[in-house]
Amino acid sequence: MTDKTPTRAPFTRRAALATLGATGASLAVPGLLPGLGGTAQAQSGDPIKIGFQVHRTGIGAAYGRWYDRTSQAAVARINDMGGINGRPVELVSEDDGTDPKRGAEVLEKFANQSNCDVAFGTLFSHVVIGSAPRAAELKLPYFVVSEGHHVASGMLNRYTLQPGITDVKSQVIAMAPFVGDNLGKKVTMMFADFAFGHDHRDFFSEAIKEQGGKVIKMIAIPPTETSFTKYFPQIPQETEVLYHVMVGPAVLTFVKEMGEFFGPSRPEIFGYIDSLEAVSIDSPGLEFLEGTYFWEGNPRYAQTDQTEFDKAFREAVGVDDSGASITDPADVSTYAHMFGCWETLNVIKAGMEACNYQGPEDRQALIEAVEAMTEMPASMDHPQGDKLFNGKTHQVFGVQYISKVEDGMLKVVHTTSIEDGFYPDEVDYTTQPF
Amino acid sequence: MLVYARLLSLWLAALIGLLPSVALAHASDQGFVLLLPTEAYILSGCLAVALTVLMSAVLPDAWTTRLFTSLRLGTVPDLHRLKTVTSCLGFAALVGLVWLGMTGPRDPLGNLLPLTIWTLWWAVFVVVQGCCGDLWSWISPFHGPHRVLLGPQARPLLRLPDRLGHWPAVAIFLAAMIFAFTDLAPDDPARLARVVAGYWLVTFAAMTLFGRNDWLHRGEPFTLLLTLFASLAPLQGRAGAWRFGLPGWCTLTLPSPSISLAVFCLILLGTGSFDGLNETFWWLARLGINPLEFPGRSAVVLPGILGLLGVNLLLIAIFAGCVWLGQQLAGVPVPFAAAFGRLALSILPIALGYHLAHYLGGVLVNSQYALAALSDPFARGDDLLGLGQFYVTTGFFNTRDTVRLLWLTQAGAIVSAHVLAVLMAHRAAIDLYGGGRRALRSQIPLSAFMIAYTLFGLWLLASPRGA
Repeated sequence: MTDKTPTRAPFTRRAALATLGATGASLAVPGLLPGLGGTAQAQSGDPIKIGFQVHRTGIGAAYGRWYDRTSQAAVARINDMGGINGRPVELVSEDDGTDPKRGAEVLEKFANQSNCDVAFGTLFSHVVIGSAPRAAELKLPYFVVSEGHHVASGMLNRYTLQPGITDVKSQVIAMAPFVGDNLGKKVTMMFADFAFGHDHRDFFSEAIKEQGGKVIKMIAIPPTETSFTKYFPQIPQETEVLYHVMVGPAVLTFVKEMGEFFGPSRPEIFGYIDSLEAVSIDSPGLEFLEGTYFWEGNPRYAQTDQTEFDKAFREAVGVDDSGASITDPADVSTYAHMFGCWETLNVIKAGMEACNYQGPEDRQALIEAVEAMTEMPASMDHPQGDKLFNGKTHQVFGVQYISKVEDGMLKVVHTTSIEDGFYPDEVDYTTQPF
Repeated sequence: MLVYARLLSLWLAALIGLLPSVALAHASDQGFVLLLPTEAYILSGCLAVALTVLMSAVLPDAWTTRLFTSLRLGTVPDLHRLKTVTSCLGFAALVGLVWLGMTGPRDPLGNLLPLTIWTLWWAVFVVVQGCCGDLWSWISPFHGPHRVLLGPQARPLLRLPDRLGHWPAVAIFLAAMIFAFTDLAPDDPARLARVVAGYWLVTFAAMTLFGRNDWLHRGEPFTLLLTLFASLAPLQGRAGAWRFGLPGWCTLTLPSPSISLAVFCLILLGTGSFDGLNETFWWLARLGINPLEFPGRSAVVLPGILGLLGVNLLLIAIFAGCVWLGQQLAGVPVPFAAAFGRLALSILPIALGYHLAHYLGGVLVNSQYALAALSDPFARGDDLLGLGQFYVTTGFFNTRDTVRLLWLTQAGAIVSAHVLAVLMAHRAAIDLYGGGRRALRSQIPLSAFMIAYTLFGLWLLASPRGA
């Protein structure tokens, strides 16, 4: 595909050629042409087809590019290792346009036209939420990498699982002990005034209370704001920690103006790397971030105690020790999130192997096999770190990283335990019928 | 909705037009643009256009006229028949692309059909045509097959009524843009393949029905717009000779356009402007959409259609108002239609400048995808071009210097297009109003319009964008 992986298993190529041959043959039968409603069943010798619902266009396109690159690398590795149940794996990539309606349409194409075994991949929550009901109707296992709480909250269905990336509620809860113990108890939150910011506001204010801390001021910033100077004076004097969750094109302006407001004396500052995902930390204007803290889903910079798994993962995806593309140091990856694609594909593989998946008739067995999973130790399959899957909520839990900006780089200063991100189950999908 | 759209941080990374992936796949530059001294740049750009207005006011008419004369450089060989061959090759390439769209990779950024249609042709080729002249007549997939199948002198079955003027092209262009703006997935290879194949068939049928040339220049909007843009190029083959002059010299020699053709010129600009406008925080705020939580194309279908039509109507009305007011100030009884038509041609460079500015970022990204797809058209691991390990990069959106360079290039395209437009309009006014003060007075409203439009164009570039 576009981002070429360095190695390919010999049989992958053969399989691809076989697929192409089949496609060529389908030319003679208009009904089998893509988009014309073909419904040929996969045979046991055919590749396992994973429908990749990817943000190629729309607001998620920048994430989609790295999700694609990671997924291609993961599939190349799986094929190098012999595929799944002796069959090669083929990613069928369809653009969801970062649009929920198109997302649902893409799932239908996977199920009815390209005969995919499962669907995988998408990121933006509204696309997941818009697509998941269709996945259930199609009885198509739908593995998402969106880190939204919508899976574990119970609003989706038995066919939708999130086994490769933790959800935001867990992430935020896991931050509170570190913030309370090390940075301060009196927290002011500055957040974008819509659902994304509200989640942080709600989850964190609750979690910091349990640490004996308190959110002393909440400053909601309208989403269309591009200058923030009038908001900083609202930060109370006694603030010990400023927790910021800003997104959008004005983030760099936010940081610059925050630096100008505080000068040399500032409270401790904690933020989410989402604000600066794919942006170089040493960009002009971000000097003020020196000494501040960030949540990272996966450390962008290779650490001194880097695991062999992280090293190999970077190599496979083509990312250097700074989290940028090996062919362009300015092309910073979405490192805090994209590992989720790699890990999810490996969960699909493990699930299919556990249930000896042969074809669409085994889709329910696949879901049950994944639901039965629990521990997922750090490994080449899970390079981000240890994880624990909750089959009832269809949500994985894992370690989180807190990094400090030092010398323009992100250095991990704390790794949470998995348990730090636990919260009571809000659903038991296993009780729902297929 | 959008419960966990934390990923929206990549608004830094997402400036998305309604047009397909060429405008969609790019750009993490917005954060850096907001840190650039764009106010100063905008002021400079507007001053440059205002100075051009002043300059054109003090320049003697003879000088302005001389600006747009051309120099004969040599003889153009008659390659008319060869064009039939190359057009057939263009058609064969289109058939191959449509086949690839139906059977090739499903990923629009891995499939050569959408990459060719939206990036290489719509975003790039249109600009190349505007700079280099009429290359389209060489590669157009329409006229060659028609000549071969129906003969060079094929008689049309019907006559396209004269009173229809260029309105068919206006209507089809708007319909095509509505597809591009509001379809859920205009990049989808199979869907686009069906649309392109259908469009070719309809065009072929219309050429057969109404005559090849008549339809291609009055009904088929893309040939029409490419022909119009081609007239802007400095080097032209005219009447058997190569001639060179200031960009636009040839446009000024075109016959006075009808109202419908003038409207066509204006909607080229109106459509391009709306494609920029609809991305802005400002526009999304009008729709009541949180720009950091853009719900997707499916949520803005009706606003997209109404916005496109509304902006075009508004532009036509303002432009017509400027022309009318100019007539009153000039005090010369020139028919409105003549003035409207001649002056509308001066809008063409602005439309082309917008086109370049709007797609530049997307082209920088998607041309890499196109290169990769050319090397591996079936996504089966081929490397026909020997690219080796090839990763698409958007790193140039991630540094201040490259973002500034990109922004200034876009702004430069817009400003220089307006400068040229001011000069062309002034040259046309000399013809219309007989030069001197009358021509000058006639240009006051239009000059103000052009300065204001420069401001608008640069504001679009500098504005935070959401959708």
